[in-house]
Amino acid sequence: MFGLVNKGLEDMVCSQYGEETWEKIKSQAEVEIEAFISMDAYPDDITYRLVDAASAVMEMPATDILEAFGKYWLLFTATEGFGSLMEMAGDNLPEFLQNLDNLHARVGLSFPELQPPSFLCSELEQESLKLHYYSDRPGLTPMVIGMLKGLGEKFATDVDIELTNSKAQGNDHQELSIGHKPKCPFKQLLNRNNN
Amino acid sequence: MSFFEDITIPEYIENPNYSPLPDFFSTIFPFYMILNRDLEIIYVGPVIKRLYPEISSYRDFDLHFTIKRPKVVNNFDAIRAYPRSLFLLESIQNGMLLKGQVVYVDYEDIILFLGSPWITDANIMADFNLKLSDFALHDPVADFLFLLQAQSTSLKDAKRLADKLAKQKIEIRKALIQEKELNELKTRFITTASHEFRTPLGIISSSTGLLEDYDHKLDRPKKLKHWQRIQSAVKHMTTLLEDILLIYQTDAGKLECKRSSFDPIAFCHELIEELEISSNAKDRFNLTIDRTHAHVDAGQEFLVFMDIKLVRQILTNLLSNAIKYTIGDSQVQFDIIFTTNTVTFKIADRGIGISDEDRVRLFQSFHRGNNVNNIPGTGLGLSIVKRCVDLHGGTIDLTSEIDVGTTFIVNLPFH
Repeated sequence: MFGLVNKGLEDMVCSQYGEETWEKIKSQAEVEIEAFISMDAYPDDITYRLVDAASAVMEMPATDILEAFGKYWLLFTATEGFGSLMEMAGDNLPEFLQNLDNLHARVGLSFPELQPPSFLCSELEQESLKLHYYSDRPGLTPMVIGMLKGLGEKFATDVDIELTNSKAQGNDHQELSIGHKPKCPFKQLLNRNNN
Repeated sequence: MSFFEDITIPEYIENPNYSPLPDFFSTIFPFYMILNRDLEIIYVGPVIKRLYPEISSYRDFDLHFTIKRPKVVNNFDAIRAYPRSLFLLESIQNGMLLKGQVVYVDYEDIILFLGSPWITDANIMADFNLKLSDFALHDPVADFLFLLQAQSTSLKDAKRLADKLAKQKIEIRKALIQEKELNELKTRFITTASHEFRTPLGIISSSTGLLEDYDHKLDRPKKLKHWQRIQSAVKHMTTLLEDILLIYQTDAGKLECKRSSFDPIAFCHELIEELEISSNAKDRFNLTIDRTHAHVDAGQEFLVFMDIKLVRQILTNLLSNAIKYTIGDSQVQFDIIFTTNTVTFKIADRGIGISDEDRVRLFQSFHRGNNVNNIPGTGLGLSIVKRCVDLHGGTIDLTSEIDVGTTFIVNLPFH
């Protein structure tokens, strides 16, 4: 896994729970790496151990941690200098999702050992699409869901996500049905007036 | 059939003489341009069209771009003469650079410019209103941007690690210095303590021995003298132990600044009286008090909010040192100046002075000046003073000249 992922997890825990909690998590996960190098590849096992330990230390389900991390990921990558590249990927949610695979493909080209996941869009409608998520790494769908929710916030879009098919059901990848509708910028104003 | 007429793909395949279709270019070279012999931009790719819409109204190439490389004049034939040169065009409107090459199509007498933006910083993409999808998928510029960002992130990582390493190095160095100081302190403590305890213990031993062996021969005044010597020795050892304990407490963070209200002037008068008795220094202190800047109404009781124990430690040590290290019976000048929020204690003696060499280690425990000779002392007094001043959030400074005297200036907040 990309060092940036582990670093992002560290950054999220430290910013929300403090460095002490992160040290506890690292200790429980038996990870003795002092600092993760963003563009280096680390065994996936390290990330899984860190998430499991975080779940135990923070007394939260691992899926919640992954989802929160998915949401945090956008913010984190922006602070790490990838914000401009992300901005270039699209001005709205469906456009961004259609470019998501290209983003990952380009990262994979430059850093083949990172083996990034693949994302394809289908059934593109006005307010819905199907996202096909391919990854050899199990159990990370909550992170993708968190990321989609984070993107919804970024593009001021209401998102409705449903896992419609999965590896657990015998499929070779995860299928997510995504409803998306831009938030009405005047909604708050209207609510205020109605009240 | 002209290059610009609509033709279908089958027509194109059937007739290999056709030029490539503009629609193909749109996907493969979204930044392409076609120039005619008059150097007019007669066709542009979709992204160029979006970025520079005014090209459709003003077609002159010169109005929109300058050729940075190669160094050719803006002339159709001059440009077409360099099909193997790397062309770098700069937008006059926003400075964006386009890197590419020119191809001359002889049967159409046109020049194709095929290229894409040359960007070395992903952060300026937004300034040019460029998106990732604007680049052709085969275009390595986007990958180059990822690599550049990765390099920048790696550099940041390296810097972060180097900073961390530097901090750790400083911490290790500090720890080593502390360790060294601790060792020195231990050595000094053992040397000083053994010396300082040996003298009073010797006195106690000899006096008790005399009292035991010659009890029947000693008259009452002589016995009393021995008892007093024993008491004085015990008192000396007790003071020494109390000083060591105080230093330990401050080092361990166990001593706090506990403020309370008291009358500082009455306190100083009492302190001087005590010192005159204990140091046998009657009339040796010349005390002046300046309250003119304290903004206290006449008749109003003047109180300060300070830690009386810390102030006592500071003044007792400085004043008794001033007496102890003064040559002869000259007076010690003790000035107290109050301002709105602070009090300054200025203690000036005409003593042996402190050398520059000693000043560096003046506040270290058990350190004593090179010129103290046989003047008794433990080297703890000024160390205690410094710790108490720090605890009280104050400052201490001094001026000194060997064999002329020393002036200590202590500034303490009294709120």
